[in-house]
Formats: sequence, C-alpha cells, structure tokens
Amino acid sequence: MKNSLVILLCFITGVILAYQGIIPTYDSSLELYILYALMFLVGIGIGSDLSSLSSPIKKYRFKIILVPLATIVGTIAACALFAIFCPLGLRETIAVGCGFGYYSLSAILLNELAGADIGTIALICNLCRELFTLLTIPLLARYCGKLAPIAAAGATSIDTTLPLISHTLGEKYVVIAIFHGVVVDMSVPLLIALLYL
Amino acid sequence: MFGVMLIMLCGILVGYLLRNFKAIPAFVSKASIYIIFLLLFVMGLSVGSNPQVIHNFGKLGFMGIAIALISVAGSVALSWVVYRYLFKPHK
Repeated sequence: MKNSLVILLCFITGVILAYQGIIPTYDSSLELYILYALMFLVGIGIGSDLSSLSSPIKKYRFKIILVPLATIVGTIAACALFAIFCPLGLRETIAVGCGFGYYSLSAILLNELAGADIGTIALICNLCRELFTLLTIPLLARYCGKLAPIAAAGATSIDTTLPLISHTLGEKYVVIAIFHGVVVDMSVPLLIALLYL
Repeated sequence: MFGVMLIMLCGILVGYLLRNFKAIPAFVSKASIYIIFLLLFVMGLSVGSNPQVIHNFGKLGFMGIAIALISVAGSVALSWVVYRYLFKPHK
C-alpha cells in the first residue's frame, strides 16, 4: 500500500515537473535504460534460484496458456459490453481495449487506422492501464488471486510491470508473467489488424 | 521486447554465478523497488512532456480511463476463474 502511494507520487511529480518545463530536455531513452536495470535485477533473482524457472512449467504445463487467453478474452468481452453505453462504437471500443497496456504500438496503429482521436484515446487508455496496474498490484494479488496482477498488466507483464510482479508475487510467477507478456504482446497488432480488415 | 529479454538472460547468468551469496535475493528485492520508483518518475516526465496526452486529456481522457478500467476488470475477473479452478493450491 505504501509502495503504491510512493509510485503515484513519483509519477505525478514527474508529470508536473515536465509540464511546467522545470526539466526541459527529456531524453526518452532514459526510460529504456532504467527498464534494462530492472530486468537485469529480475534476472539475478531468477538466476539465484533456477527452480523458480522450471517448477511452474512442470507444475502447470498447458494450463499456462489459459492465463493470456483469460486476459485477452476478458478485455474483449468487457469492452464489447461497455460498447453498448459507449459513444465510440463496438469496433473502436474493442480496438482501444486491445492495446492491453502496450500504448506506444496501439496508439500508432490506431492513429493510422481509426484517426487521431481514437489514437489519442488508445494512448491515454493504455497508459492508464499500465499505471493503474502498477498502483494496484499488491491489492489485486491479495484480493483477486495471484494471477490478477498479471492479467491486469496485459502486454506490460513482460516489461514495466514485471519487476513489481516479481517483487509482490515472488520469482515463481515470473515465468508465467513472461509467457503471458509475450503472447499478449503479439496479440496486439494481430487483433487490431483483424478488427480493421 | 527482445532487448529486454536479452538483458534478463544476462541477469540470470550473473544471478546463477552468485547463487551462493545468501544476501542477493533480499538486495534485489530492495533495490528493484527503488528503481521502480525512479521508472515511474521518468514515465511521469514522458507523459508530462507529451503534447498529444496533455492537450487532449480534458476532451478524451475520460473515455480512455473508462476503457482502461473496464478492460482491467474483465481480464482480472476471468483470471480469477482460471486461478480459482486451475492454479490455486488444493488444501
């Protein structure tokens, strides 16, 4: 809980400092280097106990495929329901949801396919998914089952949210999160392309 | 994605070589949470300096937030079913 508040505070401080121009030259590759440092640490955690990599695969086997499937079907179903009340229309609502937190890619694709407004909504929506997941990982893990943080993370379960998933759930769930992240990641361009055939 | 995976593989190798140092897991856990804070600060910088997000937030932000929350709710609900019936350790 305390971590979530600090995370929110760090994010808001960053937004304000950049918006006010207090930190004028922002280098976007910085984010990537920090992510690399984090992934290196996640790797060290796994390396120091290699059984955390193999034991979930042995234990769950083919059931692991159900985790990304639940994420994808859950998001599409919820967006389809929401489209009834949503002025965007069925296809656009599902397409925005199908970013699964992968905001850079989904915003670019939908900018091209559906126009600047939908592209911007996709950008905001998927940024929010990532941020909301980062804030609620401890709560989701406690009240909604151990797979909930991974499902909420969507495509980001392989990068930005993975360190916090590993920190909260333990190394045993890292391999599930990676597999989930790869499948959901690849489903983003595929699903959006299918929607705009 | 592949760059990230490569870095993680390097980490796994280093972690494996250092596996006999018992202090490593606690250190990794502690260090990673501080770097996560830093990552969020930098993500904030990137959002705050992105005119596409800042200028349209009033007009399109509500819709974006709504779809994000709905999507998370749908995914979490199904993942709970999968966890409850297939993953949860039986007592």
